[in-house]
Parts: sequence; structure tokens; C-alpha cells
Amino acid sequence: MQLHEDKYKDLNLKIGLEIHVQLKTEQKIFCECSTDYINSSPNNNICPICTSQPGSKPMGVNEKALENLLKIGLFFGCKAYEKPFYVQRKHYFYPDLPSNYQRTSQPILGDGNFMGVGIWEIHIEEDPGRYELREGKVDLNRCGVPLAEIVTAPDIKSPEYAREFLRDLLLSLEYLGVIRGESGSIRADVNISIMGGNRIEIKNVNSVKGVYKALKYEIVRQKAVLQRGGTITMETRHFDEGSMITKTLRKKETVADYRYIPDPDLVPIYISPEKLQEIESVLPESPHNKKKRFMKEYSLGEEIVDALISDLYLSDFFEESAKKSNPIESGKWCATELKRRLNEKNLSVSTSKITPKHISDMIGFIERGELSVKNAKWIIEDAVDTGEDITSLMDKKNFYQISSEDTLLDIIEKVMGDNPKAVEDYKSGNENALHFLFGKVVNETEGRAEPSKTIKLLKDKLCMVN
Amino acid sequence: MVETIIDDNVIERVSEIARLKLSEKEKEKFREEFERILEEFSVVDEIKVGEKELYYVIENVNVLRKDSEPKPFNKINDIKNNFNKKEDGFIVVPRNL
Ligand SMILES: [Zn+2]
Repeated sequence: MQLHEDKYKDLNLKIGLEIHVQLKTEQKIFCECSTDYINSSPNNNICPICTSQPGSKPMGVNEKALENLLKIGLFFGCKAYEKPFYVQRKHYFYPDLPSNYQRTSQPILGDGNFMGVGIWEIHIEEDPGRYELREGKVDLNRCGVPLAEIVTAPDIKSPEYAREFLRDLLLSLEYLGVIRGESGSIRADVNISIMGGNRIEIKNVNSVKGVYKALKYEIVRQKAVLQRGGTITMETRHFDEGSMITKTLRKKETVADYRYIPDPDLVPIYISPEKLQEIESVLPESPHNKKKRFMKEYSLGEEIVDALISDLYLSDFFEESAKKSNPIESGKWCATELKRRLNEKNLSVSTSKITPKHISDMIGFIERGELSVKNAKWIIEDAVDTGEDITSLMDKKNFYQISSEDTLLDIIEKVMGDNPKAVEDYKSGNENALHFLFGKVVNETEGRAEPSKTIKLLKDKLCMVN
Repeated sequence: MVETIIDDNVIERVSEIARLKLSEKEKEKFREEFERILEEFSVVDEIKVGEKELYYVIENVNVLRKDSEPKPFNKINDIKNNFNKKEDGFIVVPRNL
């Protein structure tokens, strides 16, 4: 479900992503150097292979890297191509690439789907080193870290959904245990077209937030160009993380300039059906199957289920809480208020302090009439932030609802005594007076009066006045 | 003898993607060298190949290697000695390329 698309309906946005993630391995893709490029001093994690010393040859592809990539593809419902694939050399000159070509494979899997967004293809490549362009300094430690590139169809219809999609995609990959966890482990190229206009490519966006900001900026920029009667020409732009704007890239290699050739130092790779089966057997339940199961087993609506399954940590969390509470209630709270709070705080249930017990306990309080739905939202926020248990949060916030009829009647009588005019108005047929009096009772109890009981008692009491 | 295609535009484009600024004298030198290289390689055109492009002559596939404990290279300094300019372990190159 793309919830925010309405806002952009007239723009007919088509957004596609090329997402790079680092695959989790001990060794680099073509050599035995460590992939831990962050905790090592500059240029200390290198060898003749990953720095392309004259005469060096790559070792065979790291099998673990390939397996992790296959896991990603199969999890997103992709199919592997039946033909062997080979690794190509993509030539370009840049200080982070000592060989002057990047090894990048042909598509390995394709035709999948995640959160309603088509996955066109996935392939493997080597990460270049790091070039600090402002300082003119190069560190080759990252050279040869295995990367997966995931190419989506232009199915995303808003910057908000792009952000949500990426966030959940990353969580899924983390859950699968196939990617490195360090910050900066996502890089994306973003394609966007507005109203059937030309496609603009934004290169090298380095965070989920950056993708969102770059898209927001591009929409404003392109709208302004069109309003002035200008046209959008196809081009590649660069996103500046500091100023959060995109700028034209003056020079750009074309496909022909990359001079792709199959790498003669490496042999083709064939993924057998047996290999695929082996990988599939260790994968967690796919989002597709989980969706079907959740709808059947817990009788949850599609929208709720979509929100739950897009984050596997959240879907596990939900199932745990549903063991000790009404699954429909639990599903609703997890998919809406909890997810909203986590996104707001840039957390996942795996990194926040909230536990499934918080949700099931909270639902218990609501069902017993002790906690209002309105206050439950505050409880979730606090549980996410502090992890304190529900009972002590209830005490601390004084959230216990007043549902005792005697107590409510006392308050109602007081409110009616204080507001004789409103009582008169109600008697003469003014329904608004009832709302006014109800509001007074709510104020009197600091929002803790149980609403349906209060309304009923209030009506009864008013009818008794002659 | 191949027909020469090394005109000013080609030299310009090649120097652009190689990120090199060439003087007129260097451009002329490269033009001559490029032409000679192409001529040397033109012998390849004489090879008769079938309809299908053949990328690999060996039939070996799937040379993969198991991931295991990293094995640090023990002569990193020999590599570092090849760096033209160093600062705090980084290689120093032109800025803002
Ligand atoms: Zn290496």
C-alpha cells in the first residue's frame, strides 16, 4: 500500500532505485583480505589482488558472498537465470579504483517483488575504495568488499514510499543476516520522472534520508522548470549530502565508454537448481507466504498485514504479543501506533526497548476498561522510549480509567450542578449541550472517564431531571 | 591497414574519460600511438569467428572459494611504497575529480 501517493497523484511520479548493499563475508570477494574496512587504519587491509598490482589475478568468487546474494533474490521472490553468468569489467578512471575497471557480474536473479515494488534484477560486484574528494585522499581498504546491486522497477510513487520501502528492505536484509551492519552500508542511485517526462538519474545517495531529500528536491525543481514552460532533459545529477540538493553532473561516461568485457581472469558461474533449493530451505518464510498465513491465521485485514510483514522483526514481535492477547487488537497496535513511533524515532523493534509483553499487557488494560485508547498511544510512545513495564507506566501517568459507576455519577452530578444552563438547554432539545457536559466530565477527570459509560450515565441522569 | 578513426574528437573524449589534460603536443603524440596500436591489433580482424560470440575457450565453470578467516597480506609496505604521495596512511591524489 502506497499511502502517501495521493499528494502526488497529478504528478504521476515514477521512481526506481538501484540499491547497493555490502554482502556479509569475512574475506573480500576476490582475495583473502578482511572485509572490515572500518576498524582498520587506512590502506592496511589490502593485498596485490584488491589493489591490482601488475600481474595479480583474482581468486575465485567468494562463495558466501554469492550465497548471501541468492538469499536476497529468493527472499524477494526472484528467479535465477538458467544460463551461466560471467563477471564483466566495467572500465572507468577514478582514484578509488586502482585497476581502472570494476568487476561487476551480469544479472544473476530477477523478476521479484517487495512491498508492491518490482525487483528487476540483482547482480554482484566489487566495492571500490574510498576517495575523499574534498581532501584528495584515498583509502583502498574497501576495495573488493562484495556488493549486491538491487535494481527496482519504477513502481514507487512518492518520496515517502521510497523511504519506507528502503527502510523495510534494509531491515529485511539485516534480518536475513546477509549484509554488513555498518552505517553507510547503503548507497543508491535514484531514477525519477514526472508526468511522463524524461528520466533523471541521481547518483550516489548515501542514506535512506538522503534518498527522500533528493527526491523531494527533484520534485520541487522539476515542477519549477515545467511551470516556467521549460522541459526536463534526460541527465545525471549528483546529490550533495551537505546542502541536500541535486546538481548537474557535467561529465558522464556513457555505456560505450565503460567498454564492458567479460573478465578473462574469471570463469562463468552456473547456479544449479540444487544450489537454489539448498538456499531456499534455510530461508525464513517469504513475505508472500507470511501475508497469506497472517490473514488466515489471525483474521487480519490486508492493510494491517502489509504493514506487519514489511518488517520481519515487527512480524515476529506481533506474533509473540498475539500469543497473550487478541491478535486483531495486537495486529492493529503493532501496524499503526507502534510502527509510527518506531519510524519517528528511527528505530526498529530490534533496537528499541519495547517488548511483545508491553503490547499484550496494554491490550489487557484496554479490555478491562482501565486504559483509554487515547492514552494507550502515549503508553506505546513511553514503552518504545524507556522500556518501562505497563503497570508502572499506568501508575506514573495516572492513566487508570474511571469506570466505576458510583464515582462517575458523583462527578456527573457535580458537573450538572455547576452548569444548570446546559442542563436546561438539553431538556429543550439541544443535543450540543450533551457534548458540552460530557466535555466537562472529561476535564474534571483529566481525561480518565470511561467514555461510553459516561455518556450513558450522563443521558440517564439528564432524563431524570424534570 | 585500418582506416584511421583517431581524430581530434576521439582524442578529446579519451582524455576526458581518462581524466587527463593533454597539451597539443601530447595530443599529437597520442594520435600517432593510438593509430599504431590499432594497426597492430588489426591482425585480430583476420581471425574467422563463428556466428556466436565466444568469450571463454575453457569449459571450466564455478571456480568458487570458501569464505574463511581473513589472511592479511604480509608485505603491505611493499604496496605502500608504490604510492606516489602519502599522508596519514592515505594516498594523496588531486581533489574534486
Ligand atoms: Zn586483498
